Amino acid sequence: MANVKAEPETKDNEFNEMKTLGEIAGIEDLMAVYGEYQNLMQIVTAYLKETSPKFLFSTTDSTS
Amino acid sequence: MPTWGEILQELRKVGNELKRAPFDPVRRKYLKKLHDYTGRNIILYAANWTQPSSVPAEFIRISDEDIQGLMEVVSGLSGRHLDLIIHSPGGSAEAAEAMVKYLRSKFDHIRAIIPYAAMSAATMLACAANVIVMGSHSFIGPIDPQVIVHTRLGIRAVPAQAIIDQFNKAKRECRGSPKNLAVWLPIVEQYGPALIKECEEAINLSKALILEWLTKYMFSEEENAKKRAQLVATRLAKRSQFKSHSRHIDREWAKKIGLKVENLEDDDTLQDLVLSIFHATTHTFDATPAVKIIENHLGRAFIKRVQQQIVVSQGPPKGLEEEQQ
Repeated sequence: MANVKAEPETKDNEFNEMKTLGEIAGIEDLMAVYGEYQNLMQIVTAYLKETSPKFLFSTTDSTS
Repeated sequence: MPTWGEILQELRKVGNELKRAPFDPVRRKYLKKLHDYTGRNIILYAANWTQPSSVPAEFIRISDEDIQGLMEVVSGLSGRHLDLIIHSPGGSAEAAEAMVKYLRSKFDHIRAIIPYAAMSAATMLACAANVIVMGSHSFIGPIDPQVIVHTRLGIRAVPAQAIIDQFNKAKRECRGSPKNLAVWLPIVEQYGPALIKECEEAINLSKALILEWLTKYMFSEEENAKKRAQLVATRLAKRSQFKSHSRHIDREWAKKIGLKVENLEDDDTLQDLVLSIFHATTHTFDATPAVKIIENHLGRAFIKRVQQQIVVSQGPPKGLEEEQQ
């Protein structure tokens, strides 16, 4: 969950597991098959760069 | 509760670290976490229908090709319990029936989890579960069938019951006053030879299907299962009550209708994980050409993009495969 803190070791394991899951065939492979990989990466980069939540009110405490 | 913005921030971070599109890894991470938490198989069935887009309806509705998607994601799963996360506008009742038949041949206990909305045939799909899990922000919809009619104004989806009602009205108005025939004729002419009968049968089919499923699964342990199922089926199919096929039935209304519904908020962790999956999925739809995703907690997926489809078929990574057994 985005708002649950994890210990560093658990975080590493979680990250590695996510990386492994991400390596299973998915959208990138799908687009590559149709020769649209570069197009996908351009759209993805633009989305992640330009889309921002306008307002974010959260009780998540990241100070401790 | 994770927000859309928090998942977006996580996607950015993961994208920077992995140097690749982060949508599959993040979505799959939460599917796996949900499986770890519940101990049940997880299948996500989601379509890009609530985001503003120009995706044609035939790409996102429930259709026979979804069986192929389910075959992909059921493969390799063990255990007879399933959490089916549904986010769909509905589609073909016949395809939904085929999906239920297939899923029920594989799983004895199914929870239908609705993070936001499962309408029409997707509501029927949820009615084949043992229980439906909904948040206070979740919706199901009426199950009265829509008929695709080719009119002079173009192709339109028209409620089957509305066609029957209109035809009966025409009969009434023309019976005593044949001159009214001239007014009604251009409308009635468009109905075709068997449309009224087809409408009646479509209405009967949707009711019969959920009557069968509710009796067999959701209310199976109740003495008056069939009676209760009959009541729910009649209420969900009653067009005159809902007025619109797109009417959103919230959790409390669904309970009043008689469905067995659990509150998503009753389990904070479950809610966090389900909403994380939902937000990660809608980000995927927003940022990629994917329009339908059928995916399990092992990372196996059937993904449909706007123009063409492909079965993404590859075994889970070794570590995960071993863990699943």
